[in-house]
Amino acid sequence: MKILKLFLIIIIIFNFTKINSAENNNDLVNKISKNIRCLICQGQSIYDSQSDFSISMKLLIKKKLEEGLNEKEIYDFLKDKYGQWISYNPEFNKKTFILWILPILLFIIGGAILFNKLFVKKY
Amino acid sequence: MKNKIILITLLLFFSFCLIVLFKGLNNSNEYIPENTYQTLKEFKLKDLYSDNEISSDKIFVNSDYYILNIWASWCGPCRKEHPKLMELSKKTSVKFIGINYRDNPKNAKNFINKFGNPYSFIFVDMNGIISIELGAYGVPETFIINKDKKIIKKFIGFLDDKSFNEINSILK
Amino acid sequence: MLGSIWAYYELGWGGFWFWDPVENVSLMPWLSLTALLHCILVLEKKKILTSWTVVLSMATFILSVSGTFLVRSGILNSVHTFANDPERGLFILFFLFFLIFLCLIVFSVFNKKHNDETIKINFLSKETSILINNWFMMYFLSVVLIGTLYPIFLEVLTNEKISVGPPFYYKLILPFLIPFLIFMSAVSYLKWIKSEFKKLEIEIILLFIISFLISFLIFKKFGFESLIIGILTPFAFYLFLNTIKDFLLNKQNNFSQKISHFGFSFLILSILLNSIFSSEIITNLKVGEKFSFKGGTIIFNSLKENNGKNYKSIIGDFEIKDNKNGFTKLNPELRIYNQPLIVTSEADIKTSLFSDKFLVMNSVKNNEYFNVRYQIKPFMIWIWISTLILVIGGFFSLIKKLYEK
Repeated sequence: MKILKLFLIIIIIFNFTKINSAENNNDLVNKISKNIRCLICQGQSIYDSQSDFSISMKLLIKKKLEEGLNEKEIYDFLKDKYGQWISYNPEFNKKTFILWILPILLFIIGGAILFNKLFVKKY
Repeated sequence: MKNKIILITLLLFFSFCLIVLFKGLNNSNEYIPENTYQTLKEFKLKDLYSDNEISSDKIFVNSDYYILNIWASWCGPCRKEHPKLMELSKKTSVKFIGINYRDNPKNAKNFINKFGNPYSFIFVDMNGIISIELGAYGVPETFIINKDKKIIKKFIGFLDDKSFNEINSILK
Repeated sequence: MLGSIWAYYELGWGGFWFWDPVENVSLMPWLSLTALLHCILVLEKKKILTSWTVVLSMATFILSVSGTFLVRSGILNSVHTFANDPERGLFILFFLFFLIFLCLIVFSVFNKKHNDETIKINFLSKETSILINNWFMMYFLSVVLIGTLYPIFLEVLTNEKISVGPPFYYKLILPFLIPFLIFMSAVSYLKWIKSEFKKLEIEIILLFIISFLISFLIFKKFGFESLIIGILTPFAFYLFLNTIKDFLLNKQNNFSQKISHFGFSFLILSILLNSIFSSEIITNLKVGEKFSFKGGTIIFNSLKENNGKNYKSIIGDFEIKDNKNGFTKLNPELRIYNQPLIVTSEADIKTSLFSDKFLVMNSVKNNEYFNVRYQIKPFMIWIWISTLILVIGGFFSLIKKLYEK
């Protein structure tokens, strides 16, 4: 359809004129902290928590950033030390692929059922 | 017939969920990561008494085992476990090393003067970063380190009698 | 919504949604309830989807009860779990599964095979759009459900603990929001697809261009952090403009739908704009110090002490000077309760029509410094208002049903 083509063209043009804002270290510390669990709290990230552990962790993250590690390396470092539980972003591995795949699988199955109901003629 | 199969499948599935959740209820909420048993990495911190920065490599020498205890003067459980630490330090020949965590040096020195010094050396970790890098969550925490600088046991929290017995048996 | 308001205003957490298990658990019945509501709208005209509607009703109720279980039993690690009573949890667990099994049996016994299949559903019709709505709703529901329950199952089965938090939910939900918004926008055009399409085309393209233009201007000035947000925002604007256009121009009489869909698009837009434009400054200040940032200056004037009934409070006197030389007074508080000894931090929030100013202070151990967190959160009040509109719309449709009876 003509409209669809027009939409696609606009989206593509749009994408080429995007600007990504540069992040300084402080913003990065905040961004990473929001994804790290405070291990002595009940369900808070170290960004939200004011506990000693969280404050020390935030300083540690800042130190690592200044040492030149990038975001992914810091997550890996923390997960290496404290285990998977500390990161709010679950990995995609043998044990967790069901977590990620199952909703999408259900979506596809739902789509198939709908398709069946709507487009397949029943007599 | 098809409906019966679906029904039985669903019943089985929910029974499975029930069992899992039932077991889940009885799981404890405590979390001790498995990667704690690593080699002690070198760190540099100031000495409580001389204010000079010293490397851990210079302190963790000449002992079969080391007991690394993270403590603070404001920490209640640290106070509670301190007498036992004193007792242990007198009984064994292993080196006790303390890390004073996020504390005021004056208060730390007062604490030691009042309750005794089991440590052959006390590091000062003002912002807590080195302790965190060791894998500690807070105070008190105690590590048993062997002469190859490998962390062989970690105790989170206050050392009760059971923990002390465990330490004793490891040190033998 | 009330929980979010409480977390934001009273607890001073600086946010309104954290994907905490308890929050998720209260969201889930709402998702299935929304799907159910849309189903009922179909049901009143044609006798199809009856079995599915029944399933949804049972699911909504079961989700509410499972919510009680997850929160009160202590099985989940959450900021909201205060009562960790495994015994009570056991009772609720058995009650919950008794319900589930009961529903299964009742459904299988009493479900009559309706003549669903012989009624062909016209492809481009209201029924299809409801089905698509349900399809997406069930997907969002499954994301939240699986994200919340998976850690429990994994831990019981493999003894491994993982955390599922915001990154998971955003990665799975945001991309699917885009087609969802497109479908919602398309709904208003359904009746006209066959006839006056030419006239429609101009409308569609015009609104589309306007949406992209606005988004482009926003991004040019502020940038954004992800591609998904970049595409999501123009479509959110598009839906928003569409619902307004529906209100003003279209003569259809589904008033409650207009209100709800307007509320929904407004909510999505407010949340998006809020997350793009929010900024935060964290710094340590002593009394009398100032801190300058791009938008202005934080001035820490003084501390006042106050004695309440069962607490002592320390109130910080702050002033924020912005670039236009306007002053905002903010007074965050630290309360020291004595029985038991707990220190809480009360944020001070100044709400205005376009943005909230949020300030919270925490004492830094062994120091005269205070850790000061200042946030500018635009459009916060619109998030609450749009949710209210959304709910009112749903309410209207229910009342209309009762009235018509």
